[in-house]
Amino acid sequence: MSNLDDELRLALTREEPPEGFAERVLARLPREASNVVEMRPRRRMAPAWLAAAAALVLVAGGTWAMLETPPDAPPPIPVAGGGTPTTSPTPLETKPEEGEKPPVTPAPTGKHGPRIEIVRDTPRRAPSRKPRFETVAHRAPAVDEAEWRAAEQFMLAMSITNDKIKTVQRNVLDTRAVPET
Amino acid sequence: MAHAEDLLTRTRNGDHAAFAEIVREHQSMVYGLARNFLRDPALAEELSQEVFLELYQNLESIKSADHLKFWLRKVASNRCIDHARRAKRRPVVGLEDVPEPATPEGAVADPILSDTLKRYVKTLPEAARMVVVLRYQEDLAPSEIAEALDMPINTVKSHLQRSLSMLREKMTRCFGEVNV
Repeated sequence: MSNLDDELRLALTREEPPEGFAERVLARLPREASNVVEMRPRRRMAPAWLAAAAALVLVAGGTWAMLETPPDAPPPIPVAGGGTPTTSPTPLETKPEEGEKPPVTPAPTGKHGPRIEIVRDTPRRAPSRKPRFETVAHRAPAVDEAEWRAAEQFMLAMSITNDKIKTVQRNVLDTRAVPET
Repeated sequence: MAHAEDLLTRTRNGDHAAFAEIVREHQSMVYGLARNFLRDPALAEELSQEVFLELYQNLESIKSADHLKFWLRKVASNRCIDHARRAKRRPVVGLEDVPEPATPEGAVADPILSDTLKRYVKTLPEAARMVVVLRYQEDLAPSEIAEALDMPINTVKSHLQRSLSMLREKMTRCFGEVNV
């Protein structure tokens, strides 16, 4: 072993850092650690939100498709002065009495006026169509029921999606929690 | 050893006091490597802090107390080498790099010799410099240095041989026929 070896050992000894080094490292820990913790949920949240958004789009699309689909052929309803009744009238309908003007209800076989035909054939688009309560009188009750059912299903689907999102958020919050010793 | 394992377990469970104890236990090794390699106290502290922060984020990968020591040595060495290589691309002349004044003939004191030697060590290429620091600060065998730096053992030996030869030559030129 030469003197150079000894001199190098003396020159290159371990050195203690300035006082309070460990405390300074610890002081940087929360910031650095919180960055790490914040990053993780973001990575995990992305698929959850994507899934929720996809579910929402599916539900909305399904509802829209349901509304766009023409309802089942309504049962033939007799119109005063013509047609043969095949089913009993709905509760909303009242049998016209003698001498009274019969109510305007659509008939299934083109025996209604042109205005009703227009209302029935016009595609339903929310912004352009007339308010619902104005057209109710011109529609068959079966159409309204289908609409209500669709709306109820839509609300139910929204409620289920909301529950799912809350469950995912709860799970993410649980995974974020650091267990105490 | 059992105490070190216990500290590791507690730190993994989020005990900051246990982590502080780990830092205190290894700070002289990590800071010493950075200080002897970079010759800049502020930079050495910054780099050492980053090494410990990286350790905190990788605690799950540490298997044992021995592995912790090996990991710290490896990460500190690599960070030092990377920093030196980056700094070389944008060279800054510090006070440490100013050539030393001519030493009066025959007036060789140990502190001066030691300081001069440190400065010459700093002039070595990065990899060779870290080999020398690990060899003489940590008293590691060439095989251990090879493992820490992911380097073939023959390369380590060659770095050591050339570095010592270069240092001896410079010291002789500076101090005359001193027995180095």
